[in-house]
Amino acid sequence: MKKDPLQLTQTVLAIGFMAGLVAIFFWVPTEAFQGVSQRIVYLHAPSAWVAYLAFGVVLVCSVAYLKTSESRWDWVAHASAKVGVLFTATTLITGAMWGKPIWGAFWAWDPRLTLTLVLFLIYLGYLAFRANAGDENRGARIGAVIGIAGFMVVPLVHFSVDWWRGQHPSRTVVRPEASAALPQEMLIVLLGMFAVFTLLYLVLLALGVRVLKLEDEVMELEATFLENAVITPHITG
Amino acid sequence: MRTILALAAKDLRGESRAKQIAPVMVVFALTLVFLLTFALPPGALRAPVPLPKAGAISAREITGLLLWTSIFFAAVIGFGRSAAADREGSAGDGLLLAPVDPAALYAGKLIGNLAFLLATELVAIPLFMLFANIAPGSLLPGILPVMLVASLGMAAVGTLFGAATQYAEARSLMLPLLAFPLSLPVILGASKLTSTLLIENRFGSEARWFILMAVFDVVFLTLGAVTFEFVIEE
Amino acid sequence: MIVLDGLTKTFGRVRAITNLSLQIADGTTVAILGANGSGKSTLLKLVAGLVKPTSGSVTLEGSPPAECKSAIGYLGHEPFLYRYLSATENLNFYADLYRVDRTRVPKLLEDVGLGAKGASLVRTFSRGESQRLGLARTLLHEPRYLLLDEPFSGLDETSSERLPGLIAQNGRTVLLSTHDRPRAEQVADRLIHLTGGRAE
Repeated sequence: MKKDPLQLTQTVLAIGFMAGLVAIFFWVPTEAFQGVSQRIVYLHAPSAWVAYLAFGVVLVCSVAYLKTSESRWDWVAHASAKVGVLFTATTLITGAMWGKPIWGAFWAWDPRLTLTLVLFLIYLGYLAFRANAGDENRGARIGAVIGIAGFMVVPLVHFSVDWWRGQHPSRTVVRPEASAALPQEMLIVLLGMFAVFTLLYLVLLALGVRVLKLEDEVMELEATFLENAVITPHITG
Repeated sequence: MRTILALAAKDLRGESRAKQIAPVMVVFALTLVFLLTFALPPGALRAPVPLPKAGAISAREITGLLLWTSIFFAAVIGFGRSAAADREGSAGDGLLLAPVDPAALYAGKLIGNLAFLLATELVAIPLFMLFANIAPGSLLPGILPVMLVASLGMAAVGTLFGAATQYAEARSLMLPLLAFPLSLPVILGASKLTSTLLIENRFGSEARWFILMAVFDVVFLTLGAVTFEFVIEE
Repeated sequence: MIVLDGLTKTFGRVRAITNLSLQIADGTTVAILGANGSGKSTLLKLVAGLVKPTSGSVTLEGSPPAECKSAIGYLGHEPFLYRYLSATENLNFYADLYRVDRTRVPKLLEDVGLGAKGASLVRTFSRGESQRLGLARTLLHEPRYLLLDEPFSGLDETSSERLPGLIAQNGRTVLLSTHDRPRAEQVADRLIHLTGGRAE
C-alpha cells in the first residue's frame, strides 16, 4: 500500500500536540500576575493566528478562482473558510475562558476580540451561503466575492471597533502577548504551539480539500451514471 | 454613462408605479424607530447641549445606533426587493445578454438603491426627531453628510450582495446575514457621528469617522464594479 | 457561422447536453426538435451565452457569444421584460442598452401587432402579448443570429402565421426550438433532433 504523506504529517502533529500540552501544564512556569489561567494563552494566541491565516488563504484562493475558474482554488478557499470558522470559534471560546478570571467577565469589548467576532459572523455567512447557493458554480463564484469582501473589510472593522469606545480606556488590563514575552520557557512553548497549530491547519485544510474534491468527483460519476441509466425518449418522425 | 442613467431610470420609473420598495422601507424604518424610542427617557434628547440633565448623555449615546440600525434593516429589505425585480420574468437575463459592461449594470442598480435609501431617510429621520423629541437644530445640518456617506456604503454592499443572493435558497435570509457584518463600519460610523452631534452639537475629533466611511465606500464601490460580473453570471 | 465543438453542459448531477458538435451555416434557419428535457433550451442558452459550457465551446464567427452580444438576439421562455414599465418604455430601455435608435420602436410594435398597446404596462399583458413584445425586444437591434426557444408557444394562429415573416431576413441565421414538427418543417431549412442531450 502506498504511504500517504498526510498520515505521516498527522502522526507528527499528534506527537507535537501531546508534547505541547505536557509543556503547557507541567513545564512552563506560572505567570505571576494572572496565575494559572494565563496558560490558556498557549492555545488562544495560536488559534487566533490560524484563524487569520485561514481567512487570508480564503482571500488569495478566491482571487485565484475568479481569475482562473479552476475548481481546485475554490476547494482550497472553501475548506480554508471552514477551518477558519472553527479556529475563530476556538479563539472566542478560549478568550472568554481567559477573560472570566482576568476581566471578571466572559466577554469584554476588547477591540481585537470584537474584530474576531465580526470575522466569525462574516465567514459563518460565507459557509451559510455556500450551503444554500443552489448552483455549484454560482456558489463558488459568489463565495469568492464574499471571501474577498470579508478580508478587505478587516482593517475597517478593526478601526471602527477600536474607535467606537474612543473616550473610554480599553478594559484590557494585560495584553496576553506582552506578558508571555518574558521568560524563555514561555516563549519556546508559545512558538512551539504556533508551529503545531499551523501544522494542524494544514492537515485540516488538506482533509477538507480532499472531501470537496471527492464530492465533485461523486457528482461527476452520478451525472455519467444517470445519463446512461435513463431511458431517453426517442422520437422519430 | 448614458447606459448607467438608462438603467437607473428603469428602476426609478418602475418603482414610481409599483411602489414596492421605498414606501415599504419607510414604513419598516418608522416602525423600528418608533419601537426603539421607547428605550429613551422622555425629554432626554431635548435638554440643551452644554448642560445635559441626568441620563441625557447616555440616552444620546445610544440614539445614533437605534436610528441607524433601524435604517440599515429597512435598507436591506429594500435592496432585496430591488434585486428581485431583475430576477422576476428573468429580466436580469435580458441585461446579461445586452452589450453592457457589468460595472455599468452595478452602477445603474446602485443609483436606484441609493435613491430609495435616501428617500427613506428623508422621511424617517425627521419623523424620528419628532418621536424622540429632538430639536431640529441639534442634528441639522450635520446629519446630511452622514446620510450621504453612510448610505453610499450601505448601497454599495447591498447592491452587490442583493444581486449575489437572488438565486440562493432562503435568499431573504442570506442578504441580511452577509450584509450586516460587512456593513458594520458604516453602521458604527453613522451612529457615532449622529450621537456625537446630539451630545456636543459638533463632530469634533469624531470627524475621523468620515474618512473611515469614505474609505469603506471606495473599497466596496470598487469591489462591486469589479466583481459584479461574477455575481450575475449564470 | 455558428460552430459547436464537443459541447457539454452539466447541471449538478444532470447532464443536459453531451458532447455535441454542430455547424450552422450563415443565412439558414435551423429547427431543433426534441421532447421536453431533451436539452433544447440549454442548447439555445449556451449559444446565447447565458449559460457557460462545462466543456467544449460555442463560437459565432469565431468568437465566443460574450464577445458578440450585439449580433445575438435571444428569446427564451420568459420575455425578459419589466412588468411595471410600458411596452414602449421596455423597448426604449433596451434600445438604449443596445445603442440603437429609439425611433425604431413604434414601427416594431406595429410589426408584432402591439401598435395600440405601446403605453400599457407589461403586467397587464396576456401570455401571447408578452411573447410578442419579447420578440420585438429580440429583433430591436437587428441581430444577425436569432435564437428562439419555443417561439410559437402562447401565440394564437394569426401571430404564429406572421412569425416566419418577422424573423426571416436576408442573411440572418435563425436557430429555433420547437416540439411542433409541421411548423418546424414549414419554416426551417434544416431539422436537428435532440435526444438526451445528443443530436441525431
